[in-house]
Amino acid sequence: MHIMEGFLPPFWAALWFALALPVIAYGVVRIRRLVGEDRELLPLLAVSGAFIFVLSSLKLPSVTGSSSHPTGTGAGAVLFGPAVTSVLATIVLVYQALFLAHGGFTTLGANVFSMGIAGPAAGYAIYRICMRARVGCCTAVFATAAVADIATYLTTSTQLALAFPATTGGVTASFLTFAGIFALTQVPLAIVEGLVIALVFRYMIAIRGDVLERLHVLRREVPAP
Amino acid sequence: MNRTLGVVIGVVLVLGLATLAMLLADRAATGTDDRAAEKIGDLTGGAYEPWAQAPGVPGGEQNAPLLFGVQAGAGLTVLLGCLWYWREHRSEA
Repeated sequence: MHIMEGFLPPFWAALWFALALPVIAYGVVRIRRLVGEDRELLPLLAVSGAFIFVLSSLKLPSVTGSSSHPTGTGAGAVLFGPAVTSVLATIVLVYQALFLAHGGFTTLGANVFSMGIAGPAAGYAIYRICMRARVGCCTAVFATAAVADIATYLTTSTQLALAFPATTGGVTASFLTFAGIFALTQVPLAIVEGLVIALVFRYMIAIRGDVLERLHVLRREVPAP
Repeated sequence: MNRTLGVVIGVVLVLGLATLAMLLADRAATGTDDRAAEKIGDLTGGAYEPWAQAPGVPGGEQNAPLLFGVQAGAGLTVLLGCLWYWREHRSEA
């Protein structure tokens, strides 16, 4: 989903920076507050960042003949919400822009917005809905990770469509073109990503469910009166 | 599982994933990012020229798979390290 260096016109590049920066700033404040209140959250924060680091490094071939990579932002979305996840995604995107020529600094705002904010926000919304519907935690985590992944690529499609509307059909036609490239390739990868994150969550619940309860990731079972 | 065996398994996992990331980066089919860039060319009739260039991969493009491997290995090391820490400290909770 990385929009390459210089591939967004300056107006759009600046707009996505302007939209992403306040969320990143709020995420930094949230991280400071959370870690200040509970040092035991540090390993969880590191796990969330590590997921993004690992999964976004894997260029996996997909059924369409193209390759793409998972985003890994689902774990951060479940544990800390989109604002904190945006900070973690920014770190990974800067690494990739700096050392891998993957993405870029002029497109960093757009890439953070899609991978660090819009994707995790969509995933987080799904997670809250699942929790209200009393869906099992691992199923909810699977849905969150898969939706965060797909939503990231749909957001990238929107960003490119807005910047490069088709001569015939405008933004909608352009969106369908880009979504056809990204989303179809991404569906199998999103399912794999959901399964991997759900499995690791299962293990995390087994070893330290108490910390996940404190974050309201798990429901605290109230004893019957 | 004793500590030594756990460390050995962890190292094998990290090296295995880093190698996999390198192989995938080296042999991957055309990426969706590249296909999107081609599509921008189609939509603009080839008129759009990127106005900035990426700084490039340190030491040359041939190092990109290695750096993808470093990214995967570093991430998995942190992931396994944190899960190990939690597992070791669960009795204190």
